[in-house]
Amino acid sequence: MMKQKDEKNMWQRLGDIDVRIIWAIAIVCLIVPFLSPLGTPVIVTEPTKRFAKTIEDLPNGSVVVAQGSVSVAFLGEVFPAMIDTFRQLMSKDLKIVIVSFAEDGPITVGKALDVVKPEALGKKYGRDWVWFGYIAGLEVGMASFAKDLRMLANDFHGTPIKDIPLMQEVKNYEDVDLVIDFNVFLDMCEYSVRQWTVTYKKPLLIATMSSNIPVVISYYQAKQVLGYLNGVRGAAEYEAITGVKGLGMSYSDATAFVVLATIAFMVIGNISLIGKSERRFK
Amino acid sequence: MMEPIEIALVWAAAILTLSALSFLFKDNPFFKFAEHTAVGAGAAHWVVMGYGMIRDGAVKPLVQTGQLWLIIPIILGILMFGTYTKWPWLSRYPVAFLVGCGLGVAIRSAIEAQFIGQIRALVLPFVTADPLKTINNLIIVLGTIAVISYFIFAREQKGPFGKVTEVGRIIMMVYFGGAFTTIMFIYISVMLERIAFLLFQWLGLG
Repeated sequence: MMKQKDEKNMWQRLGDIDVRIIWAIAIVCLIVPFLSPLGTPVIVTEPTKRFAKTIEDLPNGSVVVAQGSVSVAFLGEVFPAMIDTFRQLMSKDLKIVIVSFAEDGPITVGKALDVVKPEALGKKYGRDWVWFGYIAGLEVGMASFAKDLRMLANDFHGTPIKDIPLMQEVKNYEDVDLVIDFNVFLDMCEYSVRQWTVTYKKPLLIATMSSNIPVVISYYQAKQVLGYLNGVRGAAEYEAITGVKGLGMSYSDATAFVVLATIAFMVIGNISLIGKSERRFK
Repeated sequence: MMEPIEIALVWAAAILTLSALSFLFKDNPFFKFAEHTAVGAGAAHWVVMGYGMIRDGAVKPLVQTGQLWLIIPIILGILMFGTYTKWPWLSRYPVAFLVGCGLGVAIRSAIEAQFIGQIRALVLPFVTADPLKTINNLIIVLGTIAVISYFIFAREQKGPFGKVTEVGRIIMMVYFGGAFTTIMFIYISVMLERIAFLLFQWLGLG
């Protein structure tokens, strides 16, 4: 047995590398760019430009519904985009209604609001923005909310609707000028397209995980989605447009580094496989 | 300056993160503790959110504003618990209601969103001022036709038709490769968030 092991060449031995060593290298690749940023260039794509432009072009006083349905399990993927967008929304003269259709959405929305600090940007709760927490029922819940934005008795903090000035002006979909959907579930993208874009012809922007983008592209091509942010990469592009460096840029650096390591592992794995096949053939 | 409670929470989160990551070495009691804590905390969170929804979306509007029709969904909700009683058939009524509502709400716009809208988006010009756009449009339209052809099973896939379906199969393979890569990116991002938390919030670096 030992003799057979000795006959292995370098590439074959690399193919049998302990998976824990690969994990360790991957973690080091993730840590290094955080401690020493590489400053990898960010190429801004058209959907991101349209995403930013749609928000930028909104007239003062427009009402935006921000659906924060990002699950904590995939926080890292959409959280940077959520922070960047909330920051842009809060820095403009807009009325913002925040709601979640995922049970753990309020956790991520709360974390994003902690970072953005709307009060520090001159926004007053109840007058400029309101947060409704979680609404059950997924697509049915979304349809009900679009029809009646005052469907809940109170906001996330327990303040009755009648005591929130913003909710006296905003009643239903007719008062909404833009919908932004932050999510990690493909189904949620489809719910938003069906319930906001198709049913009420409302402009829709989506910030979602990279794995959902191949399907979101089809809605973008069909002009049912005006623009989208593609996970962390989308956030980095968005930061390049707005000029506010945030988590997206930091994550983008580390992603580039670990992707290079992944490609290296794939090449080594395949060369090793070829080596093994040749040995078997002989 | 962080409050003592915030420091305790950061430490708890860091210990749970490291416990979860310890599985990369091998299965161990720390990982099991983190796993069970996540499941328990998640279940508790869902219960609290569900309770809040019933309170703010049904009970309060019923009591405070007298919307009597809300009694119907409340009764249907209670009937869901029928599954735990001697009369499990009681839960069929709310389930039927949920399925009916869900389908009705989805179908009214699904045909436009996922069928007509998509077909409309495929009507693209082959002659444009930008050569790259022309190539893109050709790939989109011909690629879609090839992939759809692959799913025509009423005719044997050989001859010229077989060539078209073969192209469709190759395009799907490219898509699967892309989809696999995007999934890899997601897990990198999830890991990045945790690494950033450990480095900056827990260790205070940077």
